[in-house]
Amino acid sequence: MIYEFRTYNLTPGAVPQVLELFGDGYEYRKKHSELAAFWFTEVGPLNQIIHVWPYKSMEHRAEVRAEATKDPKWNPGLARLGLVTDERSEIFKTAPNSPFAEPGSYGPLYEFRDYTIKAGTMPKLLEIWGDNVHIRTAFSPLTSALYSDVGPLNRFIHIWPYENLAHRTEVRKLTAASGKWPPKGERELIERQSSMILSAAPFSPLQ
Amino acid sequence: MIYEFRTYTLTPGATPKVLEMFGAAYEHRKKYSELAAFWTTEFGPLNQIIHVWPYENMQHREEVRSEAVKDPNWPPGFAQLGLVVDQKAEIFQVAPNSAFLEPGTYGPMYELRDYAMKVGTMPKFLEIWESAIETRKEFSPLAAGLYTELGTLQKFIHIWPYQSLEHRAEVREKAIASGTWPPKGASEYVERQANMILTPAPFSPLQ
Repeated sequence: MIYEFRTYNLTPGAVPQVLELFGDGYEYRKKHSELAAFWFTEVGPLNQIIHVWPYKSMEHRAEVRAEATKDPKWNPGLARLGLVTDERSEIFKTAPNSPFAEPGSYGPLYEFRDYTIKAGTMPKLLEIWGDNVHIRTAFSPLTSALYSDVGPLNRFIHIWPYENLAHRTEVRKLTAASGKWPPKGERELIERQSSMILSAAPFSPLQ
Repeated sequence: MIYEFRTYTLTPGATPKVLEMFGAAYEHRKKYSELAAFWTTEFGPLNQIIHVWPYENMQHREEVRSEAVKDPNWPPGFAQLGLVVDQKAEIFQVAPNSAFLEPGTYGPMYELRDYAMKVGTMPKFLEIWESAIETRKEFSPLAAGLYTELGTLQKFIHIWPYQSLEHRAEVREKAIASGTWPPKGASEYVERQANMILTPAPFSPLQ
């Protein structure tokens, strides 16, 4: 399984219109393959949408996309309307013991943590993560943890749903107090960290 | 009055140690001049500290800094410990009707909104801002509205304290529903927008 994250920067103020256009187009697109999630940024770089498409493989991705483009109802026309300033596509694979959550309501707040790992240390990080993530998920669910396969490399992202910021603060306080999270040896492998708050679009399978 | 924003990116996990060292040294630094605010990043680029120093003008800044550096207890010395990855200093001017808040408790959550303006449009944008900001402040207080004088140009930032994300959502909904916010025509001048959620350090005059 691979996960394509498509991140579009929109012109300021364009998010509501883009969600509407995309939501309408998605009704026709989803018979070819379904989204895993669709978010827009609440805190972080603003005016951004992130759509996550799962595929069995790169071949499967090529087939689905070739079929979907033939559909006159798909292609929401965002770029043509001048609503998009920048587009990025990246392929991620899931980290050990961190499968993408099944459709459902977990949020409404999603924290997206984005780490740049020191070059060459990803296997070590994935090992530490895979061995320890169960300690963390005992406190609150994980949407998924993934590492980059195509796009900027050495990237490790993990996504956490919370009811609100107070819930997040409480969970993080409890995990820190346990003394077992973040797992030992992880910090030394990290070069840079950033975090965003995402909200789910009305048609996102994850809410 | 000018405001120097000093943004330091720290090594992952270094924030508690740096706050401790900065807080201890600030006891000696503040007789030369006081902070307007000191924050750490909660969402956005992580492991960052932002310290805001007000000065009467650039000459005053020179004088204060050259005196303070003679003090054996200043600077705090965390850079020598290898805890700083990157440093940035920017000088801002206050936008009309957007003075920095007096010391006090307004948060505990601060949203910093960072706009990159189209070249040459700052005067026009500030005019629109001035016409609308008083009405917006009726919904919730503004910590400051500032634009760059030195550093990355065409940058406009505004900082808003909130009790929680829910409080923020409620205020923004009301402001938008009133039809007075965001100010009409302002988005045409904005090229890029980002925001961060900041948490005040224990010794920050703004809490």
